Amino acid sequence: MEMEKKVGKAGPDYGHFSSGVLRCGPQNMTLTTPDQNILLTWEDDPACLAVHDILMYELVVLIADKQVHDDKVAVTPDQIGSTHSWNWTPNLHPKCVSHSVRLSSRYKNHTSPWKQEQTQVINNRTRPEVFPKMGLFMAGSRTTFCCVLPAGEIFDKMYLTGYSSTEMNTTEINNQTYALTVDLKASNNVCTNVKCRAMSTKDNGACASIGYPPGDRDLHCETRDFQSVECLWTVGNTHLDIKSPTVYQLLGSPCADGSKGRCSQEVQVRVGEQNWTLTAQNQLGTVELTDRADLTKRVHVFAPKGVTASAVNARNVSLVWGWRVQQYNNLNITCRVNVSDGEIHTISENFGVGLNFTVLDDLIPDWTYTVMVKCGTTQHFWKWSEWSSSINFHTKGDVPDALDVWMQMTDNQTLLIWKMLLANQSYGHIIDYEVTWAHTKTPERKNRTKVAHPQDHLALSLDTTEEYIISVTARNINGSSSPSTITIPSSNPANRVNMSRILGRNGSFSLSWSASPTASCGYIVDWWPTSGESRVEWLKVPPSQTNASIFSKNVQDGLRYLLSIYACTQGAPVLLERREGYVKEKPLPEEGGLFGTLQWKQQDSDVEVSWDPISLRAQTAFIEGYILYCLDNKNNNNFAICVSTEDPEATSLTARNLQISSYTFAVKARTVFGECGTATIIATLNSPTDYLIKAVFISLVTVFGLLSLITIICYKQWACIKEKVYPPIPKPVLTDKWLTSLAFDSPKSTFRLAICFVCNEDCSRCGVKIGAVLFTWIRVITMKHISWMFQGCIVNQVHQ
Amino acid sequence: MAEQEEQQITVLDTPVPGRSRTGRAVALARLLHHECTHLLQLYKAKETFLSDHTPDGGRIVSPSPDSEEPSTEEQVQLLHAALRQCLGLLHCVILKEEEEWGELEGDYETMRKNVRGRLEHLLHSTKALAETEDTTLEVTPDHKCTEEVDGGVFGLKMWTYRVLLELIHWADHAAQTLHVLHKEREGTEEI
Repeated sequence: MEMEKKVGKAGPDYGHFSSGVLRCGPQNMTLTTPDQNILLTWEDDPACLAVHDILMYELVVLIADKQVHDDKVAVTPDQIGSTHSWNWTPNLHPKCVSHSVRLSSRYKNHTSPWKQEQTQVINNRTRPEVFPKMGLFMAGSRTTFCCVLPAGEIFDKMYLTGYSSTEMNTTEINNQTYALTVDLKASNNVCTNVKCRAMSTKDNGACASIGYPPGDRDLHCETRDFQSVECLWTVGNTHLDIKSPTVYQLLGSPCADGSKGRCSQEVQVRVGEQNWTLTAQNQLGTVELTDRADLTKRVHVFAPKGVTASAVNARNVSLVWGWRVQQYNNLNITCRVNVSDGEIHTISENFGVGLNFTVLDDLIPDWTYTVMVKCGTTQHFWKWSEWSSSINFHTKGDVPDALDVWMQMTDNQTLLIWKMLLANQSYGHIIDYEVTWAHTKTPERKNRTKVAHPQDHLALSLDTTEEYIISVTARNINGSSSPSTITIPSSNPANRVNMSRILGRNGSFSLSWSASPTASCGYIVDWWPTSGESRVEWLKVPPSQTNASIFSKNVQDGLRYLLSIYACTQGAPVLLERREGYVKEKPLPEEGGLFGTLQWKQQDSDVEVSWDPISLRAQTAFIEGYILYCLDNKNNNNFAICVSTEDPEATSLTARNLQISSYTFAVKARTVFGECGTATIIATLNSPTDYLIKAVFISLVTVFGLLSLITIICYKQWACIKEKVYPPIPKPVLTDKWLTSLAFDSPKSTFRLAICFVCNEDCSRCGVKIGAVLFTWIRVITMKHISWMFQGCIVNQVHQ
Repeated sequence: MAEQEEQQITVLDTPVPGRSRTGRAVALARLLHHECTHLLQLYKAKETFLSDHTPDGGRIVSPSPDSEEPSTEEQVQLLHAALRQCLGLLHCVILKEEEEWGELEGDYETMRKNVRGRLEHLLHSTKALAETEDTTLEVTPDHKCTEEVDGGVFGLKMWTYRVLLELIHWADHAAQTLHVLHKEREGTEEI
C-alpha cells in the first residue's frame, strides 16, 4: 500500500518582522491525494489574526520542479484562524508522479515565505499499473491516463481499445512513468479498457466509463385527474452504466423511476399557466427542463370504464360506460367507438358533457361485433385516452335479405337462378327457398314449390309463348325475406338484336351501352360461355349507370362468352344488346385435331379440301379465316398459299389449276395470334383424259353387258321372239331374186347384214328381215347411225 | 430464448440408447470442454485487450490427492472436487459481473449460463461414477467468492479470463480422466 509522506519545509524562515503581520503565513500544511485529487489543508499563523482585510494565499503546483498549476485562495477576515483547504484534480494522477505544492500568503505588499509539501509515489509493484483505475469521464473531454511500470520493466505500449493510434498521444514522464492523452469518445460498451504493457508481456489496465450528462428533452406535462401532474419527456442516452444512473426530480420531489421518461407528483391542478420543472442529474451534470402550461387545458382522459352493451337489437346497439374521475362528468368529452365485425373496422364519434353512452346503427343482424371506446376533451383537445377494454356482443337475428334473382332460358326450359346469400345477408342459417310462378294474365293462380338450401336454382318447363311472373323468398329461423320477383318474357323471334364482338382487357369485360328509356329499374348484364358449359352469371346496375365491368373468377381465358344487356322494367326484362367475345383470347390448340380429318375431292385440275366445323370449345380465339397451303411433293417446293378465305364459317377451300401430281395440302386457321392448328392431307391427282377414258370404258362395259344380256335372252327365246316379232310370212312367189341378201363386206369390218324385203300376197304388208349383226368394238365408235325397225317398210342403212 | 436453451441442453444430454454411463459422462465432459472454449472466444471478442494478454501462471483450482498414485476412481473423485470449485468460480464470476454491469443478455451471457448448466450436469455424472458406500459426494459449488479482485473493473476482467481458462483446463481433464475410467470399466475405447 502506498503512503504519502510529508516532505520537510523548504525556503528560509523570515519569521521576525517589525510588525506581527509580517510573520503571517501558512502553517501545519497537510497534503493528501484522496481519489485522484490533491487536497491541501493549512492553518494561519497566529500573527495573521492582526490582518483585518482579505488575506490572499498563493499556491503553485509542480511536478519535478516544473510548474503545472497555480491558484489563489482568498481568506476573509472572519475565516482567519480557521483551517483552510484547497482541492485540485491534477492532469496526471497523483499516484503516477509526485506533485509538490508551494503555498505563501500575501497581505498588501508583504509575502510570506513559500512553504512546500510533496506527494510521494512508491513503486513496489510487480506489474504495470494504470491510473486512474476507474472513473467517470465526460465524452469529448481530454483526459490523461498514466502507466507506472515496476522497477526494471521497459515500457512496450499503452492504448485504449477502440481508438486508433492517431487519436492517442503517449509521452514519457520518466523511464517508469508514461502518460497517454486522448479525447474520449462515448462507446456502447459499459466501459472502455485502458491497457499498459511492458516488454516482458506483463500488463495491466483500467476501465473508464465515458458518457454524457443527462440529455433529456421535450418535457410535456398533463393531468388526468386534476389531482396530480404527470410529466413525460424523451430520455437522453448518457452511455453510462447502471452504476451511474440519472436521478430525476419533478417539482423538487424525487421520481420513482424516471428512466422510462415518466414521472408524476400529487398536486392540485388549477386554472392558469404554471411552470412544471423536471431536473435530471448524473455524475457528469444536471439538466433542467421546464414546461409552462395550464393543465386544465391538458387533460388526458382515462379510458372509459365498464363499457357495456345495454340494449342489443338486430341492427343497433346501445353502449354505456362510466368514468374513473368524477370531474369528467362536467367535461365536454368526445368519444370514438371502434366497431369491428371481424373484417372491417369502422369508427364513429360522438361528444357531449360527461358523455357516457352512444348508439351504434347499421349493424348486421345475427353478427358478432367487437367494440372499444376511447375519449378526449372536446375543447382544448390534448390526447386520446387509451382504448377501453374491448367487449363483444351478438346482434339479434332478422329475416334474410331479398335474393338477387335471374333467369337462363334454353330451348326447352327456363332456369331460375338466385345468388347465395352471404353470411352478412342471411342473418342466420337458410332453411329453404320458396318459388312461386304464375301467368301474368292469371297472377292469382300461383304454382308453388320449395327448394332446399343450398340449392340455388330451379328448372321450370314453361310455355314459351306466355309470360310468367316468378317470385322467390329465402327463409331462416326468423322468417322469410321479401320476395324477389322476375318476369319471364315470352319468346318472340322479333326480339332479335344484333350481335357484336367484344374483347376483354386485364381479365375483365368492360361494357358500355346506350341508355334506354325503358330501363326504369336499371340494367342487367349477364354472361355465359357460348359452349353452354356453365350457368349464366349476372350483375345488376342502377338506372343511372350505363357501363359495367365484369370481373369474375369464373371468366376464363380462351372461352367465348355471350354477354347480354337487358333493361330492367316493371315487367319482363328487355334485351337491348348482345355481344360475343373473349376476356382474353388464347392460341388455338395445336394438338387434338382442330380440323378433324381433312377430306379432298378433285374436280378436273381443282381440288377441294374440306374439314369438320371447329367446335366452339376449341375456338379459344376468334377465327378470322382459313388458309390452304399446297406443296407439290414431286417438285419439292416449299408450301405456298393456294387459297384463303376470311369467312370464319368456311369448311372448305378449293385449290385451282393444279398439276397432275402428288400434293400435300395444309389447312390453317387465322387468328389474332397468327396461323394456328395445322392439318395436312396428301392427295394424288388424276389427269382429265384418264377420267374420260374411264368414263367411256365404264359406259362401254355397261352397254356391252346389256347387249350381251339381250343377245343371250334373244338367243334362248328366239323361237318365241321370232313368233311374236316376226311371224312366218308366207313365202311369196317371187319372179326374181330381188334383194335376197345384202352383204356389206368391207375389209375394214366384219359387219354382215342380211336384209330381206318381202311382202305378203297382196303386198299390203311388206317387211324387212334383218339378220343378227356382230360388229367390232372399234367400229362402233365410228358408227354414225344405227337404227332399225322391226315393223314397217323401211330399209335401214348401216354405214361404216 | 432461455427456455429454448434449457430445452436444447436437455436434449443434448439425453442418454443415447446403448451408451454406457461412463460413455455418457465422457461425451458430456467433451461437450463441456467445447462450450467452455466457445465461452472464452466470446469473452475475448468482447474484451479485445485480451488478445495480447498473458495471464498470470498457476492454477486457481488444484485439489491435492490423498495418495501419490491415485487410482482411476480416486482421480475421478479429485476431478469431482475440482469441478465443484470450478462451478463455484463460475458462480462468482457471474455474481461479480452482474454486480458491475447488471443482467445483460448478450451471446456471452447466454453461453455463460449454458456452461453453468452443463457443469452442474457433469457433476451429477461424476458423483454417480465416483461415489461409494463410504463416500458421499456433493454437487454444490465449492467456492466462497470472497476474494477481493485487485485493479477494479480491469482487474475483474483479467480474473474472469483466468477463471474461463481454468474451466477449459478442467473440462479437458475431465474428458480424459473419464475416458480412462470408461476404458477400464467397459473394456473399450469406443464411446
